[in-house]
Amino acid sequence: MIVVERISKRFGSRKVLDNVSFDVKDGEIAGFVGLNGAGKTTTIRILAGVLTPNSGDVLIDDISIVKEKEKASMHVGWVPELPLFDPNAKALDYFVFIAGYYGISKSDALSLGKRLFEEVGLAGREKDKLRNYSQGMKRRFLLAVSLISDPKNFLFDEVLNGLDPEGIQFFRDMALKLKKEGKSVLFSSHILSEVESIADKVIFIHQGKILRIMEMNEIRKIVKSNDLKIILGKVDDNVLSIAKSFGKPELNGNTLIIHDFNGELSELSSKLSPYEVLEVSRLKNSLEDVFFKIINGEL
Amino acid sequence: MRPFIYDFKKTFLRLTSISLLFLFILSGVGIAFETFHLMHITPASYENLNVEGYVCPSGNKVSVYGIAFNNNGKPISSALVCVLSSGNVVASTRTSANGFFNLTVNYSPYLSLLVKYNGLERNVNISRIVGELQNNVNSQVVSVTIYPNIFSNTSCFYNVNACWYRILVSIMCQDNLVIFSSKNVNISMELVHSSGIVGNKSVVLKQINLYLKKFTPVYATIEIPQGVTCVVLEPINSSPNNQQIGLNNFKYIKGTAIYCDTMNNFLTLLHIFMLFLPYTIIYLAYISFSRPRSIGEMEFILARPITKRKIFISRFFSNALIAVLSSVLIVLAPAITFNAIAGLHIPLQVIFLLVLIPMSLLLTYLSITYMYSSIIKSSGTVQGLGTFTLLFLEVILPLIGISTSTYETLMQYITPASISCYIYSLIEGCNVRINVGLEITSTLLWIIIPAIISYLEFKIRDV
Repeated sequence: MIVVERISKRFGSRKVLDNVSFDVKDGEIAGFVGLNGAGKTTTIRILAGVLTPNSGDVLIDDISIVKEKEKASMHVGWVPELPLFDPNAKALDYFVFIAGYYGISKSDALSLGKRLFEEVGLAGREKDKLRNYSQGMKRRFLLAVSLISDPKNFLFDEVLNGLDPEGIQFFRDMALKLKKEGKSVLFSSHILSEVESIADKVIFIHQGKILRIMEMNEIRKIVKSNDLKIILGKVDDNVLSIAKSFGKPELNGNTLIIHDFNGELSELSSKLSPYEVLEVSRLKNSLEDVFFKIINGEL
Repeated sequence: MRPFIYDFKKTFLRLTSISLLFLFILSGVGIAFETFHLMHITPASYENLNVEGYVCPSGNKVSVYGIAFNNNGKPISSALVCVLSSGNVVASTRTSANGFFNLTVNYSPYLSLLVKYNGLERNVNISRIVGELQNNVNSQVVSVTIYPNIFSNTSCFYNVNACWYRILVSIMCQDNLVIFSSKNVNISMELVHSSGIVGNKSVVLKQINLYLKKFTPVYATIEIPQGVTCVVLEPINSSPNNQQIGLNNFKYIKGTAIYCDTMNNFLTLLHIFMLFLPYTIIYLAYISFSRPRSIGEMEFILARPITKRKIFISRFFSNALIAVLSSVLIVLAPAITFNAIAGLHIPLQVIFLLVLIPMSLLLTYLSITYMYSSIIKSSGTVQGLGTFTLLFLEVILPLIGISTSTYETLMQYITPASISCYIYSLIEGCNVRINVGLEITSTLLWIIIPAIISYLEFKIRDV
């Protein structure tokens, strides 16, 4: 479990985090959403023990990463967005080097490395230099490294950036697998549809402050709308006057949108039948809409 | 293994560090050979075979009495000794257990002595010596000494060719004495500390009375006190105004006899090397600390169970250990080379003093580079600044000192590793007025202050 308690961070005179607090429970995936420069990566770097907050604390499985960093670091795995390693090193050699910091002997690290490389889909590429890895392979390597100490908490920082669909699918499945194993995952991403598909809750951060923390159920209720989308075979000026009696219509080409639909769908269908109704569906808001509504103070 | 120890070990054992140690060994050996070269000593001249003795003409005959011994002052037995006339062997023998040999041949104008041992050989032109003898009608015996090793003419062996008494005294490596007399005599040998050879202010540090038997070599080991500057021989029961024999500029460092020239050449070369070798430690600090910080690897390591403080300490001290070992190696390698090739023994206290020179210099540049690395994230800038600092402190500043007549003050108290001035004066036996306390303080401050700034900056700043 990750508990973030009122952390603040300044870079010089610029305050980048202001009293940030949230938690990620065991067996939970928390989406971490915000614009560029909102403070997501800074927060995650503090959680990973790489940065020290100016105030506040972070508890990783009840161990303070500020006060007992060495202990706390054993319980957290960090997959950074950027490849922070020596690009000239060979993958397995570097894995063994990092494993040494966890007190793992070379022979144990080698066998662990081979197992984890296979698990993350890097089998057969162990002897390659890291600079020869693709973006996706580098991420997978970072994931393998984060699994060294078999931690209960994971920090995924924009891991989906620049990945192909297969890579995105892999990390999505990995996050879900970790969740199933009862591990907590903080998942920061710009691809909000992916966050929406895996997260149990979403933490919205903007300008260094947490704006809202919402459970997915709550978000789903918000995103569920009462707008109707109808695609017609042909249109004329009369279509809008028919639709007005069912809500607030808007016509874009052959697509008719009725906002705040109020009426019976069967009645609408029969009235529009002369215009050859091709498709009728309900419109849904996305997490992106929710996000912008929160930022703009509409929610 | 604890992460701190692990990081220390990994930093210490990285390829750059090990390569650096080899580089310093090679540099040390290079310095040793270059010292030989500077002293115009050819490989043949530092062979471990010494021959000395006397040529005694009698009528138409010439007798040669001699001894063969090695650089440690031990007799060489079974060495082949030949007398050649115009290149043809006219007589030969082998040295006895005490290295003694004796041959008598008919005189000819092209006589020479050849001594061969273990692939080594020495030549002496006997006819030339007989010719000199004939110019001195009072002399009946001519002594000849050959010091065929690297320090023969100008360096490590202190020899007293006491013709007046027909006694040859040589102080060889490791306080070993070889004395060879052409007559039976009781002598008193005084080891003197003196400002001159025969000064009233001379202080006899040690006196030994010896009975020397004609053509019977004496091999002895004596403990030569520190501060001996010359050796005085006097026959016992004879006039005190008899000739006293000694050499000027004899700087005796306990454990061996070393002339200033040898050490001067060695120290000059070491000094030149030390202008460039600090760059290697700047590079080591760059590879171990600055670059990982620059490319973000430090962050990646910091996400492991290790703290920033421990990373700094493990890396700094690991690099410092390399600096210390490199310093030891660059002094020890030439010392071993001198010993292996020429039998020259450099005493431990001299080695220790010499090690302090590169050590203080390397540690200073390590601290400075760490300081830059903690403040500046760009490793390229750090490397550039480190190199510029080296150039400025070791080249530009001394030049400024020369042009402003402040060179000595700058070198003694201002520049890094200024303790080297005191160490040079100690080893070379020069009388230089130096405030040692100030030198030590200056040297330590150059190391400690950048190291502390580096630590504090690294602790405060985000990686």
